[in-house]
Amino acid sequence: MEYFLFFQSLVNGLVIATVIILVALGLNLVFGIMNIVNLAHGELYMLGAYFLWWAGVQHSIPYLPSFIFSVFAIALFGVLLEKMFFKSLRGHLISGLLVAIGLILSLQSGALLFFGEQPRGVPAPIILKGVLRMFGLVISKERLAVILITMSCIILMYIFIHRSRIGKAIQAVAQDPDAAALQGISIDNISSLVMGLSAAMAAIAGCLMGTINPITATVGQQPLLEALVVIVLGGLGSIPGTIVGGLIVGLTKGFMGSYITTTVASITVYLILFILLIIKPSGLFGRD
Amino acid sequence: MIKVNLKLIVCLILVIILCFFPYTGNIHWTRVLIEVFIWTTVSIGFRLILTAGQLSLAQVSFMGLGAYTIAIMTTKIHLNYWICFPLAGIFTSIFALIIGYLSLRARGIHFAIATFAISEVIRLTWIEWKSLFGGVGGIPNIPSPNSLFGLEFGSVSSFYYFSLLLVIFTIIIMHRLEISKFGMILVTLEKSENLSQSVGINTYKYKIIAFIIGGFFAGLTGGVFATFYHYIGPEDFSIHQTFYVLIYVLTGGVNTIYGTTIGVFVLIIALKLIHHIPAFNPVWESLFLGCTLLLIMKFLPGGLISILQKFSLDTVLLDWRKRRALT
Repeated sequence: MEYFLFFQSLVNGLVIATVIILVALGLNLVFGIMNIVNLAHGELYMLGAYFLWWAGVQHSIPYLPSFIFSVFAIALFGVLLEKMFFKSLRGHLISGLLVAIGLILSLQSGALLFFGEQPRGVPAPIILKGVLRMFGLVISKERLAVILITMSCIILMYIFIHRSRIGKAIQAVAQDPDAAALQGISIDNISSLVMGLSAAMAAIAGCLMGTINPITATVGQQPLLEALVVIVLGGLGSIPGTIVGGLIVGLTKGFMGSYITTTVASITVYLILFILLIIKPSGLFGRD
Repeated sequence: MIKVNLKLIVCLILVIILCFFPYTGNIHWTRVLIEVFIWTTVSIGFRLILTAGQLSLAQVSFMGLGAYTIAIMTTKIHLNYWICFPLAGIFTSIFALIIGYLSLRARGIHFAIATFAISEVIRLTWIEWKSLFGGVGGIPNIPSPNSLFGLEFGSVSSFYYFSLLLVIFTIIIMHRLEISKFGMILVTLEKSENLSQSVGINTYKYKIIAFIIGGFFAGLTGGVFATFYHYIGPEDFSIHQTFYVLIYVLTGGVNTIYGTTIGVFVLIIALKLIHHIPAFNPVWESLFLGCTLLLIMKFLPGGLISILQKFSLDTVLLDWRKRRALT
C-alpha cells in the first residue's frame, strides 16, 4: 500500500512537473526575448482549455481537430496580444507586468461571461479511457498520455531552439538584441513568433489539463504561479534550469500533496521561491 | 506661492463638503464614501514604495494582517477596540519590517515576484490554520468599535467621520513625508538606484522604511475594514484586491498623492454606478477595471491627473508666456 501511494505520487508529480515545464518554457522564452514577465500567460492556458471545450463539447467536433484548433487559435491570439500591447513595452519590466495584470483581469472576467460560471469538462478520447496495469501498478492512460505529449513537446522545443536557423536567431536576440538586429534579424518578427510559440505551448498544457481536471475561469492562476516559481528557481532565461526547476516543483507538489495536504504543498513551494529570491535572485542556473 | 494656496483652498473646500455629506441622510452613498476612504488610505500607503520604483504585490495582504489582528483580538480575547487599533498597525509594520528586510534585497521584478509569493503564503495560511483564522469561512461577528470619550461608533455616520479622519491623517503624513528629504531620496531611488547608492545613500534602509510606513497604514485600514463589514475572509485580501489597488493608483496617477486619491474616488464611484445598470453581473467589475488598466497603460500613462495638469493654471500661464516670448 505504501509502495502504491509512492508510485501514485510520483505519477502525479510528473504530470504536474511536465505541464508546468511546458508553461514555464513559454514564459521564459517571452522573458528572454522581450524582457517582459507575461503574467497573463496563465490566462492563455485557461483560454486554451476553454476553446477545446467550446469546439469539442459545444460543437461536438472530434477531440484531435478541436485540440489543434484550440492551439492555433491561442497562438494567433498570443501574436495579437504582442502586436497590441507588448510590442511597445519591450524591455520595460514593470510596465509589462502592469499590462499583464490588466489582461489577467479582463480575460478572466471575459471568460466567465462568455463560457459561464459552472465548471466545464472535456471527455478524453476513447483510446485514452481506462487504466494500464503493469507490475501490479495502476496508471490511468490519460495521465500517461499527458506525460508523453508534454515531454515530446519539450524535447521538440529544445531541438527547435538549438538546431534550427530560426531557433538560433531566437537565441541571438536573447543574447544581444542590438547585435542580432545588425545581423539582419528582425526583432519584431522574432518577438511575434516567440509570443505565438509560447501561447501555443500554454494552450497545449491547458488542453491536456482540461481533459483531466474541470475547467474554470481561474484555472490558469495556479500553473502561472508555479511556472513563476520554476523560472525563478531555474534562472530567468535558462532552458535547462526551467526543466530542473519544474521537476523540483512538480515532485514536491506531487509528494507533499498526497502525504500532507495540497495547501501545505503550495505554501512550501512559495516559501522555496521566497527564500531563493533572497539568497540567489539569479536562480540556480542564472547567468548573472 | 499662489499655486500652493490654491491647492490648499480646494482641499479645504472638499473636506468641508465631505464633512457635511452624512447630513444628506443617504446611507448608501455614505457607505460608498467610507469604502472610498478605506481604499484611499491603502492606496496612498502603497504609493510610497511605488515612488521608490519597487512594485509590492503584498499591500492588501498587509491590510488583511491588520484586519485579522483586530478580528482575533476583539472576538477571541475581547479587548477594547481602541487598544487593538494601534496594535494592528504596529503588528503589521513589524511584519512588514521582517518581510521588507528579507525581500528588499531583491530588486525590480524579483521583488515583485517575492511579494507575490509572500502574499499567497499569507492567504494560504489563513485558509489552512482553521482554529485561529477560521479557514475559508473567515471570522464573522466582529463587533463595532467601543465608545470613545462618550462617542458611539455603531452608526454609519460616526464610522464615516472615523474613516474620514484616518484618510486626512494619512494624506497629511504622506504629504509631509513627500516634501521631506526622505521623500526626495525615494524619488532618486526610482530614477537610478545605483547612482543614489554611489553618492552614499543607504538605499536598502530607505526602501525598508517606506515599506514599513506603507504596511503601518495598510494595517490600520485593515482594522477599519474589519469592523466596518463585521466579517472578514481570506478572499477579501486576495491578489485580485492588490491588483485593484494598483489600478486605482495608476488610473489616478502615481506621481502625486492627489492623483492617487482622484483615481480611487473616480473608480469606486464608477464601480458603484455600474451596479445600477440592469442585468448587472458582478463579473463586470473586474472586466471594467482590467480594461481601464489596459486603456490607461496604452493611452494615458500619466493617469487622470495628467489631464488636469495639462489644463492647470500654471501650464496655461507658462504656455502663454512662452508664446509671448516667441512673438
